[in-house]
Amino acid sequence: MTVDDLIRRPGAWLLTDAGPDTEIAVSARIRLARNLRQAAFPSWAGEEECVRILNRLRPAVESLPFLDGAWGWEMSELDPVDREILCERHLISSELASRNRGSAVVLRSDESLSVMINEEDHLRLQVMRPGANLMGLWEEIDAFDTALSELVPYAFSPELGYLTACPSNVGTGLRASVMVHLPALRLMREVEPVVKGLNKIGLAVRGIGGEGTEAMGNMFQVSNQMTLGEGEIDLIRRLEAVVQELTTHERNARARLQEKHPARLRDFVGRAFGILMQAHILNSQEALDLLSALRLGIEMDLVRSMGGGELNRLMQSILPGHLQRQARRDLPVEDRDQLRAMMVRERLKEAGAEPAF
Amino acid sequence: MKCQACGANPATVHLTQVMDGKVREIHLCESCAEQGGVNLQNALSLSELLLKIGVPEEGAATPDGAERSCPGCHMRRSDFKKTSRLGCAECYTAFSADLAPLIASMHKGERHVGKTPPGGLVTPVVMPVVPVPSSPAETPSIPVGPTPEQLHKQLAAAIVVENYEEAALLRDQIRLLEEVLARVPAKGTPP
Repeated sequence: MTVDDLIRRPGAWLLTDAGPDTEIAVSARIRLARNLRQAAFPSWAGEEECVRILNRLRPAVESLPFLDGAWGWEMSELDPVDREILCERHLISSELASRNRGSAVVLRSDESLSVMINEEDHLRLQVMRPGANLMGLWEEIDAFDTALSELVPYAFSPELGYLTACPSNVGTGLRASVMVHLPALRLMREVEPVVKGLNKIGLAVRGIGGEGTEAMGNMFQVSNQMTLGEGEIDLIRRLEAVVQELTTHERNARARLQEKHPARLRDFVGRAFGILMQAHILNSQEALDLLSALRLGIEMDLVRSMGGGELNRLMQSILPGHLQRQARRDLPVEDRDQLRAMMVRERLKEAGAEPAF
Repeated sequence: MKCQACGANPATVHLTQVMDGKVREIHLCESCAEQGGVNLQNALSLSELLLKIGVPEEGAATPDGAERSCPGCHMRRSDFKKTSRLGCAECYTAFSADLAPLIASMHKGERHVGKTPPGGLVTPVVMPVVPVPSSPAETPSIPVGPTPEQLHKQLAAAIVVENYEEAALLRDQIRLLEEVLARVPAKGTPP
């Protein structure tokens, strides 16, 4: 099994056919940090020790029925484009991508469940799905974690909880996040106050592919910052409520745009459509920003003949790693930008997409 | 007021963060603030800043003046300060004086709430550092001094006034006391 087998289909965080439930809250994931009791953490352990730890952990992880015929790669087996593809599919972090021998990723074939071994911590268990059903994800990862804890002894202290390499993860070791698409709030310049409000209640909002409020394609990730002093269930309920509220906010912003600034809305969607149909050079940032506007158009019935699922596939296929693998070679940046523009034009034409105004 | 990071220059940058209803303050000199990447244009997390520049506390050195290091993995305090990543689970005990204020500033609470690994894992991984007893067989006597309840009250008070250095010391003292008390036979048990 190779990374190439992955790229022909949408990643687990993308639905092939996005329904209204995943329009704004695109996808959710939960990550648990766990460590072995008597072993140095990966960054301190050195390569040989990491290899030893990996050889102990990987069979245990793969033996669990949850992974159902697991796939996996040690980082040293993968070339840079493979690593980029796995990052783009949210299966590994850039930290894991920068490692070599002694670090690995193991995943279920549908990619929804995965384990990074020897990233910052010995184990990072991850579950992700489209939508924002965090409680469902928690139940799944909780059962997986419990089963794994019966095979490997975890570093745990009754006072501080699960012990992690960085004290910012100690406690539950849980990071829950929801990716939200907020083009209307961005257009109405209302993202910043929302971000500030969420920061005050201990939630972080990061733009995907950027820091702070810089976001590629108007995608933001809302996640918890604190892991000590609040139980998993309480945190997840709180985050779910916040996401619900954000979704309502965005829907209201869309309704206000439609009602009070219809020309501005059409201009936003129409310009994006025009550039996507005619551009011959598109970098990732620009392409994702324009596709975000197109997505808003599709969801507000301003663009015909293209579904959210098709758009998701297109969005993924133009990311640098996916793009280069489809081109079957490493491409210099300018060539990539040309190929990306060509792919976008062709897909939009094939889909028969056109403005409905 | 002196800078809380270097302890030398006067503090001219005063930062306040309100997160989750808790108010946290940090006072830095210009150069430490710059080193920590303080940028007034951007929202800033005090815990990230603390992680970056570190705030010195008591307990940096062992009584004989050597740099504190972890008995489990031999990470030195300065290694931790450099990378802000711990070396192993035991580091949580070895560097507890450094970690306590950091953890307090980063998190909602200071005690774990939530899942516990199944299988009745009751042995704490973080063991208190107990001074070497004169003889292992010797039963320690009940120490004269504040009771754990009194110390807990003092700890709560220190946390309220954000005196994390004091809080860290108190917590170590509580751990030690509780460890010693646990080894004292309960009343009525034959010696």
